[in-house]
Amino acid sequence: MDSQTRLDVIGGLLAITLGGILQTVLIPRYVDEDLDLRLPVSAMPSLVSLLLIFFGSLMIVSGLVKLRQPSAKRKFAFDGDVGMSMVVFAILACGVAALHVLPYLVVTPIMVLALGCLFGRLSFYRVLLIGAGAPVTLYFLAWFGLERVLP
Amino acid sequence: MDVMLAGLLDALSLATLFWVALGVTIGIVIGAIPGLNSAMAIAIAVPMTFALSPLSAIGMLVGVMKGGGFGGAISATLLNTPGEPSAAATALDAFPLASQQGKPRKALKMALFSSATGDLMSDIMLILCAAPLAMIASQMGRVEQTVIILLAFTTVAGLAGNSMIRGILATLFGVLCAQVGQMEGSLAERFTFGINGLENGLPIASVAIGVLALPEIVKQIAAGRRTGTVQATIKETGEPAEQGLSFAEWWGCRWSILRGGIIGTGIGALPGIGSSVAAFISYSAAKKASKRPEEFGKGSLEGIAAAESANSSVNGANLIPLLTLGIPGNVSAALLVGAFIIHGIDPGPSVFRNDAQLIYGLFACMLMANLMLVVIGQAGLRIFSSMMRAPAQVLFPIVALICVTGVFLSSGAGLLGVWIMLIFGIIGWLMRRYDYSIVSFVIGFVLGGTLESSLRGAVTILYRDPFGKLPDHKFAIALVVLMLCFAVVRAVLVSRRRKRKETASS
Repeated sequence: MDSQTRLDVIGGLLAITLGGILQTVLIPRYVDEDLDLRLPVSAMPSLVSLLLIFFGSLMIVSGLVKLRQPSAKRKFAFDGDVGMSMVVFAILACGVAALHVLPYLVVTPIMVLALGCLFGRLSFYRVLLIGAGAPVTLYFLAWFGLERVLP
Repeated sequence: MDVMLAGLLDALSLATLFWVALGVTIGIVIGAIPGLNSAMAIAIAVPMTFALSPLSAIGMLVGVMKGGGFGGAISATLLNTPGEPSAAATALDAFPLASQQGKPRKALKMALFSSATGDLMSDIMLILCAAPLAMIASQMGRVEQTVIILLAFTTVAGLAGNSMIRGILATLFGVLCAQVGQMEGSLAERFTFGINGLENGLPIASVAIGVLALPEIVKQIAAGRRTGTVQATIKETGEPAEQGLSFAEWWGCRWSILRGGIIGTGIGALPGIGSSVAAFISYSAAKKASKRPEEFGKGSLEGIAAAESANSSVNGANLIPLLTLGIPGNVSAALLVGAFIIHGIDPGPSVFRNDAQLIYGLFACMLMANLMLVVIGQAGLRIFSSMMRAPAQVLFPIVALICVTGVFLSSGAGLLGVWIMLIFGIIGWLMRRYDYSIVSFVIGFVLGGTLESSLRGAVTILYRDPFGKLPDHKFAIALVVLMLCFAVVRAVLVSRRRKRKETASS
């Protein structure tokens, strides 16, 4: 099975799984009822989940049909370093988590400096610019411009 | 007439003009950063508009859209790195003119003037067409509205990506995300999981920045160590007098600009096709019609003019389906729908009845934005070009910080909004990596609520005797037939293209 077919089958299976979870768990548990309405509140989510199952199945079938045809090796449309991208997301997530307990002006300089360090060594000027200049500017812009105090 | 004048006066107020000018500047600056485009610029700018009046906010976003279009041409010209796919056609001639002939300023000025002219043409078309089309559209009922939204979903899913099924799945996921929160016209909640802050739905700023801007920022930071800092090394050579763009040179390209404007306006009025197609069609049409086709690809001014006027004129034309039917034609227009909704305006045909003053003010803002694009673009050409020299190590962490701060301030959900942005950032990253159309997702998310209310209205109308009442909705039946024809024609074309590729490879 080439990578294109495998991705179509995996995508189809994910869509069917999401549709199935919606039908069996999410819609019965997390959708309120409103008896005044002609159509139930769950009508639209149910329709979407059924369509997800239908088009997911269609994608698996079309992937398997492609299997019988010669195809070129798939090239990702959004090619990038997967591991490093996850590190960037992790740095952002740690920064946001830290904002729950620590002030903005403490967390954000560390967060942006960590992101900057992924490019290589930071010069003193750049540490000053992105570690202090950017967070402080945004903090005061929010304070004076929007009259909102960041945490 | 009074409403028109009042709208015009609103647009000409100093505050509105300031925000439009700021929008144009932000658009050019963000658009000039390699990897970022005008849709991302709008997503990043949306949080800044929450505290503004509706006209200033939407005028500013329109300014960002127009500025971003030209900003993309700067990186295409100086780095041969188009900020968005549509600028790739511009790079074909602008980069050789800048690098091989040493005339970067001439290339940028031609891109600027063609972009502004193309924009102006599509804005005039929008102003002339929108109100009459909206009057016709306002006669349509819920059944027709439902079918039109479904037709838009099918068209966008079919044209915006490489696979129609993947496009439909992305649209369905967008519609599903739009179901989160309290249902319109009821107190019933869906998928809020007891989390405070989700009852108003997923904040549009969090979702838009998450799927549009964050994946690209993460990609650029992740690739930072490998690629280092990309810097423009182009230098001006030759006589200083030859660096500028003369009126005769611009006038010599008038037919390319006009043709590009018409192609871009025509394509932009159809949802989902996008500015890249317009730019390349216009480029090849200009090459065919040119007296000097051999110069194309080597720094032809006509080539730059054709590509830029076409891709910029798509922007204004994309607002035709938005203001007449409430259907956004691309991501930028979808974000404008979000801005309309945030400011309590219902985009669509009723907007001419309910908020006519705002719409005429918006038209005036669009025309002013074109003028500002020329003035700001001309005055700041050197500064904007120096954006190329800004190190990515400084630029992208700061843009990431702006996204986090902007979402925190604007979403109304505080840190929950930032978490939602991060989750949608990962979803957007996966969607882009595995070729699921972001455009389809965003349009599904923005129109999900409208689709549901239209569908509920349609069911109420057709309830009990659907087959007896359907003949009263001939327009809707015609649209369903059109939708099916589109799906069949697309399937046939894709199958033919595949067979042709197989024959060529064997």
